[in-house]
Amino acid sequence: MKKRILIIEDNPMVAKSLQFKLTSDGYDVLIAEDGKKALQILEEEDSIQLVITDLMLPFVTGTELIEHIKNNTPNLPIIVLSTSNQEEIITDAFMMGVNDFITKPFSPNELSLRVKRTIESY
Amino acid sequence: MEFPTQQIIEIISWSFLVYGILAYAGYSFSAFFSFFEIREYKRINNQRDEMALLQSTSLPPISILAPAYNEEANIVENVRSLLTVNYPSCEIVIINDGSKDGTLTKLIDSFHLIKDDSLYFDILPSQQVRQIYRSTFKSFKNLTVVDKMNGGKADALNAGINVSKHDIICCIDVDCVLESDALLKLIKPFLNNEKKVIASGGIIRIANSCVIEDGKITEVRLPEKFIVRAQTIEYFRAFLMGRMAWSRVDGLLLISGAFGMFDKETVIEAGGYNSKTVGEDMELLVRMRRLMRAKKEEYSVGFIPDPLCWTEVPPNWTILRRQRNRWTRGTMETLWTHRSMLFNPKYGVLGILSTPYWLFFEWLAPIVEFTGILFFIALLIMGQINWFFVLGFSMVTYGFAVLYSVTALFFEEYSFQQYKKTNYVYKLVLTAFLEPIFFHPFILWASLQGNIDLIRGKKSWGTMSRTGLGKVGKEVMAQ
Amino acid sequence: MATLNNILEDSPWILKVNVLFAILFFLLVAIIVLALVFLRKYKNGREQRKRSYQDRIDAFLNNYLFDEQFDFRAEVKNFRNRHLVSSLQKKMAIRQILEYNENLKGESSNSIKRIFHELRLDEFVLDSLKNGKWYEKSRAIHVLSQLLVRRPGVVARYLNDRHHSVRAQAIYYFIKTAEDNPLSFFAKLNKELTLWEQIHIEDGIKHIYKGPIPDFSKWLDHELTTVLVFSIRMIQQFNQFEHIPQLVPFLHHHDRTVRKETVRSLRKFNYEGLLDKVIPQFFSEDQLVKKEIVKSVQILGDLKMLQVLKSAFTQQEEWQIRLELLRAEKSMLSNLNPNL
Repeated sequence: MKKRILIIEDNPMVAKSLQFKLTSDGYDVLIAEDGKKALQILEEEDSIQLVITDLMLPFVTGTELIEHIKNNTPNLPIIVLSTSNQEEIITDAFMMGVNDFITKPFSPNELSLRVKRTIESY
Repeated sequence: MEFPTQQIIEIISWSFLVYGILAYAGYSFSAFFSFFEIREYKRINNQRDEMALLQSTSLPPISILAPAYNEEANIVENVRSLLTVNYPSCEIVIINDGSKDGTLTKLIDSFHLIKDDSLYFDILPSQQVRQIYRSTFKSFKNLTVVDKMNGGKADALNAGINVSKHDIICCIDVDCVLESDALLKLIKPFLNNEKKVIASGGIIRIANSCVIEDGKITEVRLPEKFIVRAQTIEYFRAFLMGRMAWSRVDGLLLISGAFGMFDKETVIEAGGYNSKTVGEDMELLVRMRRLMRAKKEEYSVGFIPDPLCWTEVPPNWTILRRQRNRWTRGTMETLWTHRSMLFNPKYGVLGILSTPYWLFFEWLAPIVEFTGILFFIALLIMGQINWFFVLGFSMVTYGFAVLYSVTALFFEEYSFQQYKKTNYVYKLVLTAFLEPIFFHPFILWASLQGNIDLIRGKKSWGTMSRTGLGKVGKEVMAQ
Repeated sequence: MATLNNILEDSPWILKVNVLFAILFFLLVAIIVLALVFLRKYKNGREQRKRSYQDRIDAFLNNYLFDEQFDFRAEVKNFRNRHLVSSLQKKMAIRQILEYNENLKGESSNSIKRIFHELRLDEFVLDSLKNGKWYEKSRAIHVLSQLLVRRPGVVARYLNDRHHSVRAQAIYYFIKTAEDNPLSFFAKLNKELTLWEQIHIEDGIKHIYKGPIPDFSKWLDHELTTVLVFSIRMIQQFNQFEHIPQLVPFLHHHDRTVRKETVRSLRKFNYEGLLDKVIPQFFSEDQLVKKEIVKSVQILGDLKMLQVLKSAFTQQEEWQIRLELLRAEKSMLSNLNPNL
């Protein structure tokens, strides 16, 4: 069965590219364009095996989302994809338990490898 | 005795027609002018490289000044929202204007404030400053809180200016919602090297009913209440049918007190805010302009047509009445203080166009309208009414009012189109038809009261409480 | 209806005029409301078309980037002939390509730059640079700089354009695309830089440009005052202290903004000889420069020096300088005695 990934990203261009790349890598990809929708999907679907999220999101921020996931499904791996490259933000994210942090602009090939590694290690 | 009803009606009808057609022609002309200005602005600014600049440390630092009076309920949230503003170097100065509630305590607790004894100078007069506070937390290091005796908004801003560190100040209402790049856009006019810029301001948008998350507008919604929707139309008329045009001919007399940026040195030299008027924002800009004129220094006032600042407007009649009453007094006080500018060619556009415009269209119009109504009542009592005249005259007046509003709606649709849902258009058109009947008479009444209050010497602030809602500058009056 | 007509017939002409205008106003209202509704429908339709076209571009670009079976020649040709016909389509494709370029890095970012040329959008951009209106020119230069299309010869022509925003974009172009010597375009510049542009240039050198930091002293003999001021500031910002001796003579430059910047930069360099040079000319200086001198005394000098200036300073009208002197004095006193 295909492994399922949830992407939370409000920039449609980035979301589409990720979806395309990861689908061609053989994953099943769901997209949520804001934090509220993401929570809804997480509620309904229990087959998700990886979350890729932005930090700046409408309605519910990425940080809140990460907290929520870590409280409810601590074994669900998270990769952050963010424009921020400030040390403080990156270390804060790792402290919260995210598995990887990728900065934008990003390389799709590199991201695909990191996704593979993260999913396989779970 | 035969009362010359017909002749008088004829004269009034003609005056109105001439006034109406002139006004409409003037507004349409300036609306077209504004439209081209907006288009040019958009063409210049569509490259988006402003955002890349946010890391730049060479942008001039800004002091944001926000007075607060009895804002206990929302102060912490509002300050948090201000702290997220996107600008590399700015300090935020909150001035607690002698609040009687727990505003100060809330600030001290939430932001871990401690007393700060840094030096500053009372260069502008203000009520006594009790204490200055700064935060012990690194993440709030840009926050300064000034606790002072109550003295009103102008007085509070003066105290803020005294304490502020930077050369450019940005005066805002504490509960405004700023677009993330608002400061960057407002500072841009200052960074040319042709003329000295003494101030810059922008369009104010109505936040009622909009969805606000973490101090940012996430969804623009049309206000649900009629009273607020009617004000939305007023704002369109004010900003889209003329504001840009005034800016183009350098005739702006007002930068909204809700959000404006100023060159601090010029503000201080002009004497700061005048705490004796309720129209302190308009009065300050006029005084600064006169100062520059007296110094014979070339200068300009910037204006940014992008929506930069969102604010709540009065959601009920009581607060609205108080606001309009105050605006009327503010306009009168400013025009009276600076009456020597009126029709004075020495002041160029300001003397020939701006001040007469404010006199005739802003201040006098409600009075003339009211006189008309009195006249009508007089005729009614004397049984001199010809109902066909009344009907004809009412229709022409009403038609003009609606025409004026829908033209403004059309410009909004053409330029910014902030209200995206299609059925908002129909609601706005309906509001335009109802506004002259159910909203305008009320505004008329409020500004008349303002006139009466001023003449009777009521200098106080109409319960000095800045209701928290009485802030949006006087733009709306500049319809 | 007939009675209404009769009444109108019999009534005075002023009533007729009123009715006439009322009808005119309502007619205009009707026309504008119709136009409003039509405009909204039209905009909605256009948005719809734009969205579906955008989906098409996205599909094409993503296939190109990530699909290994992508038939490059055939697909590019097909897309160009069928979906890149109107100028709106080309503009939208360019916008999307810029968006991808901004968000992707590594190999994908190179591929995006390549497809821009393969779709012959470079021709379109160069054409609008040559023949377009000023805002199209400015936009075109922006696109060229974002996608690192190296045509310095062509862009150089716009460095002194009549329109401010074209000029600005041409300047940013050179910073963004330079591999070394990012300020070489100064040689061709003959219009003063605005502060906004100076900030952009500085930011570009710090954050976008990757080559070796240029020697800013090269531009100290430039004929434009703003280039001179900028270079003085940059010498300090980038710590090129070996050029301090070259800066000193500018303390006597005829332009006050140059003198001001020189005082400021030398102060930040902690240049020892600064006070000896500027204090003698303090009283004859311009306000702008006086302020900087007071700050310099505060930082490099001692309290006595400052008090000498203060006691000798009697010009009533220069309140800013008096304030600056007082401020400096207070701060120096409190530094001397922290308990004060």
